[in-house]
Amino acid sequence: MHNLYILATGPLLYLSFALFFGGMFIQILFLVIETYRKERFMFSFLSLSSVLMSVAHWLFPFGSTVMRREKTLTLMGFGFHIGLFILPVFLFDHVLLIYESWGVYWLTLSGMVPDVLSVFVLSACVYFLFRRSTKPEIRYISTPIDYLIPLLVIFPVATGLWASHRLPGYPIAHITHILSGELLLSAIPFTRLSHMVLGFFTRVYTSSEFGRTRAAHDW
Amino acid sequence: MNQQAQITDKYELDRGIENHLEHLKPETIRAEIDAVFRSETGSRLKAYMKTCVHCGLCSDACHFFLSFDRDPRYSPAGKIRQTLWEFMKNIRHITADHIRKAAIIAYTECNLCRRCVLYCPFGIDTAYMMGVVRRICHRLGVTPLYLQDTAHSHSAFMNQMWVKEDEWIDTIHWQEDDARDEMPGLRIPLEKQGADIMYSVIAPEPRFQADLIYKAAILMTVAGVNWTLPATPGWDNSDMAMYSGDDEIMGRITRTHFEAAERLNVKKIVMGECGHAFRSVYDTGNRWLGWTFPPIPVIHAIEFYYDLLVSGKITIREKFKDPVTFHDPCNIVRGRGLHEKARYIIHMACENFIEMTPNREHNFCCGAGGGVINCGPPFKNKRMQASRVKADQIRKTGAKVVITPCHNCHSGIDDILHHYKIPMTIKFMVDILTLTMNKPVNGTGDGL
Ligand code: SF4
Ligand code: SF4
Repeated sequence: MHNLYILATGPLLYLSFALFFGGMFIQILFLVIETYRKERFMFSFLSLSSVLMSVAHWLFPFGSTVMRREKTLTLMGFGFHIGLFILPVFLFDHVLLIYESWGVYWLTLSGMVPDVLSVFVLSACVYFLFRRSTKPEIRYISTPIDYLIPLLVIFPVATGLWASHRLPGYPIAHITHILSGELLLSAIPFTRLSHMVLGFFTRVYTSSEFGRTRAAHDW
Repeated sequence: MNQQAQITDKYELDRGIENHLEHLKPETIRAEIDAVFRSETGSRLKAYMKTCVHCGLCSDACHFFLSFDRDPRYSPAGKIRQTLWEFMKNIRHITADHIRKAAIIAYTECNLCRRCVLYCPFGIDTAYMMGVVRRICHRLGVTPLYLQDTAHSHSAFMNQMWVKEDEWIDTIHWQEDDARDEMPGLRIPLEKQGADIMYSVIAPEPRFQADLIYKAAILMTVAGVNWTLPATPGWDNSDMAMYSGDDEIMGRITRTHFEAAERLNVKKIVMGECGHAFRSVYDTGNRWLGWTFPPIPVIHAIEFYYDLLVSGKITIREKFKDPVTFHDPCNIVRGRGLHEKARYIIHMACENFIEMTPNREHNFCCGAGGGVINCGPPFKNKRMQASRVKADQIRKTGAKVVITPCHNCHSGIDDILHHYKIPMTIKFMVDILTLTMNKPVNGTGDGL
């Protein structure tokens, strides 16, 4: 158990960081190089003001038409994404680990916030799975991996909640938390989770085209 | 029944699609798909395919999906699943049947209207991807017969409807003669060097809607515009090759159009009331030729009318009385943001304007665009079924007249009004303007 812990917080942790940062970096690099090589014209249509306008509408809750229509999904989606970003970066235990290793630290979450966020993320995952399996149009375009991804998120968050409250069996929960967290991080570049970065690229191009060439709103 | 059977069952065989399928070998299919992926697409397509989280948010944007009772096969992502997904995943196992299905979906079940782009959190452009599928089908020679016929016409005559050069010139003279009855000083100047404006139309106008040329001439004369039409190829700005996937012909068409304007040494091109033609000249074909923006300023009729009204070159005598509604054409609204200018014109010329809901960028496509209407009779029933939401949307306005400044929309909505027995008529913007504006009886203009 102890060895596993050492492995998980040592080499595996670095491996997952390497896979995540390296994988994303290579993806972006290839994307930009290929665009430059084959579709260089795309650069000439980029427009900062259009991108900012569009991103502003899509990055704020209910800023776009579809968000106003799908209220539950918007709420769940925003809570989920905010939680997923804030929890790993600002959790006290995580920052403490980083401080111990590298001597840097930043703001941390306190009180009930981590618990509330975790519960929100978990409920959102359940909601996503429910939505995916009950709506025919979504089931039709879903692959096995699409059902797996929410599970990939549920694991680290649920075990994190478990371990932080010292519930029975928490040492196992703790190690599962670390391992599944690393798995999630490493999976990002290789699954649809890469939308966290690629999504910005597609949005930048679409909003430039809409805003500049087509003088129309894309939200 | 498997999906393939369902899809092929409900369509009357299209000879253009079927004839070529017989000769397709798996190696050819593989080679062509591969060639498109390798040399004609790049990171844009890859990023779209990778980024899509299969959330289904785009479904409700598509009138096919809504009109076919939320059948998942008609959702934007559902169409990608049946076509590009398969191509990318199983390139080795793509058969002629897959290509048939892909051709039917891409040519007849998507109007390339881009409404779904507004509903995707990542702005994934399903219309672009359907265009890629069309391109593959075109390279395999699997294109709907009627659509291919128009592409052939473009190739041979540089216009969409096999109009011969003398027929074009003759039609112009005929319209000039007729219009001179109403306005004796009127001329339709052909081949006038150094005019301010080259006016271009789509071939259906000389073929069967010649009155539109008449009306344009009246408008130009009243406004005193220094305009001209080319007598040579280039007068037709339409481009069905863009929709059949024949990019090479698309480029030739757009180039011919620009070259006519260049030769006549005009300051700008004003395009008649057509949406798809505008998409080709302003956006798609223009880019294929390597221009970021058109080499000669190009404006759509709506911008032109707007300018004429704002500058007072035409004035409204008496507003149109019947309640009107406006259909925003995809290619000039999602494609050029002309919705507010169009509304300005309508408010100036009509007394009672009722908005459709949704409207502007969010308007539903007429069901005819993207070359779907040009796929002809074998697919008309499906097109009518797919237009159910459009029919409901129009009916709900309770207006008497639908105005739309686009030929495709015009024909598509005309079909819808008949099919769904909606007691309305349809008009172009120029119909309304020539009815309501001040017309000096002996207008001479300086169009000579
Ligand atoms: S482009 Fe239009 S017709 Fe095609 S899938 Fe999107 S919404 Fe439907
Ligand atoms: S809305 Fe966008 S991300 Fe969602 S399924 Fe449609 S194309 Fe994919």
